Amino acid sequence: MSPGQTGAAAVGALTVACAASLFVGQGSLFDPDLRPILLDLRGSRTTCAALAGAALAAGGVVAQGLFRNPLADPGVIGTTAGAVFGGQTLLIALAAGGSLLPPWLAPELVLPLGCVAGALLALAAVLTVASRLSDGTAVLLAGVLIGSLFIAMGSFLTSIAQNSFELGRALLSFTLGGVEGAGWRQATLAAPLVAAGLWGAWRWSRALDALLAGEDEARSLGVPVSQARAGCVLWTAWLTAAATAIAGAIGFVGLVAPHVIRRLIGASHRTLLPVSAIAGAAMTVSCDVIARVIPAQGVIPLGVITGLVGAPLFIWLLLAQQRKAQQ
Amino acid sequence: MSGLVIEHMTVQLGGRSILHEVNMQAPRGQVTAIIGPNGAGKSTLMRAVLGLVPARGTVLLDGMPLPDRAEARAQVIAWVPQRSRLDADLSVDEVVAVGCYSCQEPRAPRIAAALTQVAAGSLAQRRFPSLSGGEQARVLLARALAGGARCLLVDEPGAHLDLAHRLALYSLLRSLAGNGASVVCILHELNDVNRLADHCVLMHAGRVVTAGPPAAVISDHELRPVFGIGMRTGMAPLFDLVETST
Repeated sequence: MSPGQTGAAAVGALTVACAASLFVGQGSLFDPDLRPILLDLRGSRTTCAALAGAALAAGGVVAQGLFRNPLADPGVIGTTAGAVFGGQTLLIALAAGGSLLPPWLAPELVLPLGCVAGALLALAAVLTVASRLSDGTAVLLAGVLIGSLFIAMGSFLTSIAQNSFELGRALLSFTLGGVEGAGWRQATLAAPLVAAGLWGAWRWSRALDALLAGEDEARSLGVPVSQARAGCVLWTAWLTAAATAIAGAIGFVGLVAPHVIRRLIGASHRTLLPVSAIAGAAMTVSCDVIARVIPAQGVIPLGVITGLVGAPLFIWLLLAQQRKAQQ
Repeated sequence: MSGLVIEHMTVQLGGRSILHEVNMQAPRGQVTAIIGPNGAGKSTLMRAVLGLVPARGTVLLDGMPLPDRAEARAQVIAWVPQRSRLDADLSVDEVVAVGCYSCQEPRAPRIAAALTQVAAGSLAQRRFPSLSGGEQARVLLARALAGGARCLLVDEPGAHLDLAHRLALYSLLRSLAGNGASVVCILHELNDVNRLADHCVLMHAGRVVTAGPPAAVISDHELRPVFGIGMRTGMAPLFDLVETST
């Protein structure tokens, strides 16, 4: 399929998923009394899911180019865990000194900053380890371990925050994530963050194409490699942080969407990044619809559904990569 | 002097001296061959000129120092590695587009011209990993040409190519030099030096042993101390590209 055809198919899938998201759930959209409320609730939820999915998929594309490894999902390499930890730390800091914020600055506005700082910290740690490892699988393992470290630190923070009921609830809610309570205010705040992240990451797409041949060839072709790496790290952290601030920790979207699209249109980042972002949005909205359809006592978190889809695919990809390396 | 001039190039890697005070010239409009045994420092010299390894010394192109910034440097000097690490699923025109990284828009005419120059226009929509070794070599050369550099460094252009593809590539390199480029090639096959090069540089243990016309450098007197074996100069079978009718 050509990039144009694939892009059109991804837009079609996103449209269908968004339509389903507006119609599926308790209460009918055909009920004139309920319609305005349902459209408001489901519209903001759908928008937030789409934004988170687009950010995660684009972050996945950039991370995979940066590490030259198609398995480098922000969730797998610890970036999401770093973003969650950064958000948790900021929430605690705000609880301790929130009154220091000017009245016009809502806590939701500064939450992404904490997520970006945490994601950058995690990525910097993984890159430091990766610079000493030549095996791609070992780099992924290092990312998983660093992610575990950030999850452990975040759990520690959540535990000690339970002394305050409000803070404990806020931390737990942020950590579990999800888009079920997302409103238009969050969607409006998230949209420029995600748009800036997509634009910033796309500007490095030519450099990422050159880096597919390794750093030496890229440098000889005129790519300022250190700058490109720094830019890619920043935008991966930015996109992951934006998604985490909207919807918490959602795994595997950054792995599944780019993988499917890469198989259809190839590895050129100029087309791979935008089409993957649309596909990631479609996937996340679809998973949110599935989460609503499955009968359960409470709400099934979005990350559970993306994990159920993504984890088996990740294992299959890992085995395929090993087979390729052995050939 | 116009062309590439390397002065006092010294490279130390891991505490080991790889190049010692290398001085050489690659005149404009000519093909210069760098020869020497394994470990002589030929590839390191190319990498030092490209700024890929830390080096001391001066590199001038047409009398001007090479720019420090990678983007500006790529506009004047291009590199064709012996074997690219590129194995991603890119189309041929996407690979060549990467060679235009530092070019101003529009890029499409440059890509088409570079592919035409290496007679690979018909490959534009093919996937790079699906190409044969000879086709990949031509595409990598097109990627180097797309940037419009006037100095071309080619690491073992004939490696992994059959005779016909090798001759076609040599013919192309000679025509590039004929159009005013400085072409520098690392060659292992000494029989090819006379065919391809106007100027030859013999290296050994990180130093330039001698330089001059191929006929003067490719001699038992010069090569015996460097390669450690005796050489007899004779008539090798001479193949050339000719039009064939089927």
